[in-house]
Amino acid sequence: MKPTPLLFAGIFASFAAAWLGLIVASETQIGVLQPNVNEEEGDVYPINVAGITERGRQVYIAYGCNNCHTQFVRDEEAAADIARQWGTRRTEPLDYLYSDGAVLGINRVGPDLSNIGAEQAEDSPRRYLSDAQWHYRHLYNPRSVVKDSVMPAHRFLFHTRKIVGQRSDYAVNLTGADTPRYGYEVVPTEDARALVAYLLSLDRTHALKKPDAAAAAAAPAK
Amino acid sequence: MSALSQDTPQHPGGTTGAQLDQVERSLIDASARTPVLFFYSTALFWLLLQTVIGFIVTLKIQWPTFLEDCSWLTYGRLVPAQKSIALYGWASLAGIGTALWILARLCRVLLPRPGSLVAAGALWNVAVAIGTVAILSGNGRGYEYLDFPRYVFGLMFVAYSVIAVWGIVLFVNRRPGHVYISVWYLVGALFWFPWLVGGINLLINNGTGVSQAVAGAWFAQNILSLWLGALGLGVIYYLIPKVTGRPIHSYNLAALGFWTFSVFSVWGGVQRLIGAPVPAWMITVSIVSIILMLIPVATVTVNYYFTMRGDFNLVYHSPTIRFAFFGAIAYTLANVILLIGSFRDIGIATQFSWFRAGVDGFFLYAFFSMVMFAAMYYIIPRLVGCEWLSATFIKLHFWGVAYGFGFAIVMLLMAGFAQGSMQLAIHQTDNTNAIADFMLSVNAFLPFVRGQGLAFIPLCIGQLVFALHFLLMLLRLGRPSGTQPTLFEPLKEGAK
Repeated sequence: MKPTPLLFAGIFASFAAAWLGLIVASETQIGVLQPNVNEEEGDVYPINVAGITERGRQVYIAYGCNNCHTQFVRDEEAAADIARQWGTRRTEPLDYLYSDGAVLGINRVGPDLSNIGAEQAEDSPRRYLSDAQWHYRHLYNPRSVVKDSVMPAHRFLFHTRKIVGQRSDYAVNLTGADTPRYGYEVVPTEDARALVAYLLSLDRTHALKKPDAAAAAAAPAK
Repeated sequence: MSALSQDTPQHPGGTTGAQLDQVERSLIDASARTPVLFFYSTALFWLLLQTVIGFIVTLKIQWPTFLEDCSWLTYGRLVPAQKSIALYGWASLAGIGTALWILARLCRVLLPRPGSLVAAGALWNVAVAIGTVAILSGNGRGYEYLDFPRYVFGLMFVAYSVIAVWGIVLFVNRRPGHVYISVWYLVGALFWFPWLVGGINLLINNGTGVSQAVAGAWFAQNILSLWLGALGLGVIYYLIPKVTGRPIHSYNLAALGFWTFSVFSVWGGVQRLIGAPVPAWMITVSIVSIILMLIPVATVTVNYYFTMRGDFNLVYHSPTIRFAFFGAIAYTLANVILLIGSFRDIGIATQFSWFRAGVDGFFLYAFFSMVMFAAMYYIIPRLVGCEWLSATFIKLHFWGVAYGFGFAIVMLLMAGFAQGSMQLAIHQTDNTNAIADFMLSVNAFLPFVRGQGLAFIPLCIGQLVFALHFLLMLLRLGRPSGTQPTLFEPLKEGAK
């Protein structure tokens, strides 16, 4: 008996089967998704927004935000994500058409950010989330806005400089011990501005065309 | 590259077969000495480095303000750096070194051109170093165990090609006859690794959103359970029969275990995304495969058990057996815990929590690292020509890492359970303050994650002692060889 070719064939075939059946199959199923187009209202979702929010996503990944924050909303029946106001519906693969898979996240040490930039009602207790200033203050010193937060401060995303002429529009309104010296201001770097623009762009509350969403979630098992 | 028989000097008359075997083995060991010791020493360096990083990370959870003004040392960068160093620096280098030595011994072929292996190992180390700097400077990619930028994997691939080619050369030139089960696992591992890493790099670069996440999750699981799993099992299959001096209990069982392992293991991984927006069938397939993994796990467990039966007292005597035994049990437990956490109802709470770090740690540390220590205790005396200096050092190392790994893993698993189950439901009836309700889950896991920090005390002691012991061996400051190997307690005559 010559077991060697058999050994190699088996090692090859067992891996190839799973590779094609699971991983390549997932790309063939998800890679063909098309944006929802509502021709009557001239509405397209999702939209591929490049520019500063794209840069912001790179910053998000570069600082490893996904180690503690996820971006997906679980089904109402499975978990309390929707009750926590993390979203209005569960997220679907289509929501990530122009995103990076890494943003789904690894661990929920901090809250989910799927819809952190979604519009908040006038009287919502989460109204502050629409305020870029709140995000700057939070990044600069998390515990100044969320007591007991375990998030590390990201002060390296800001610089303190002397006010020349007028105070910058972006200058962070800090209070307490964080207040800069008189005549100085704390301004977010380009990265911080991109990051906050990205966070404020995160909105996966848009209604999905039902058939597509259902097809994506419950595709026939091959 | 020629088979050994041609290189072995033919002693005129009077030389027994056993003596020839002895000469052959020492020639093989001599050919493997430089590369294997090079792989081991650099692997140990990365092991110590990742322990230090892990310790800093734990301090950061305790005191978020610790070292917070340096962007290179922010939590979100140290964590992926630690994972990548542990996997590519420590585990892979130690695993490849061990695999090469065992392949050379089992195929009875001299390691061809050891210099090229050292060069490949050096390139691999350079790649890990560049990758670490890349992550810390903000060029990571955000995927678990795949944070290194693409070009780093390019470098690693070049280094790996050399290693794999010599692996194949060893296998092809092996002495004719029966192919031992360890060789199956090791050849399988050497074959799967480049496909796993190379293929996933392609997919993650060209995939779409969620399919990238699927590929990433599948990779993160399989780099542990397939690559490290196959290496570790192959090494245990070598060490237990060698030290006990008994053949594998059942060869058919071993073959069954190997084939079920290679067929089922690869379908796992997507269960890491339970709850995420992933087509349900993929998660189901992975859960089923993890249930089926119980077959190979049970077969290897039974096989190890019956091979060891009657020799369990060796656990008290032989360092190699004690570490390998710990690793073998950890492998079984790791798979059972992976399974428990993969059921949908439990996974909805435990995925995306500290629980995952606990399960990954189970594979990477309690199983694989312990098996690597076992292999080092067996192999290094054969390479440097002296025995380990002190049984006390080995004991310190064993108890340090056994308590350290064990405690850290249990704490992380409990942290994940506490965190995940708190997050499943809202606890405050007055839900106007979503932050306060979320903080309940943070406060639930914090005591455990802080407790995990205590594990670094025994871990650091154990690993430093081992590093020192290893250094003494490199300097040939051991006990003279030819005497009995260093044992915890001397074996009584006839006890075996």
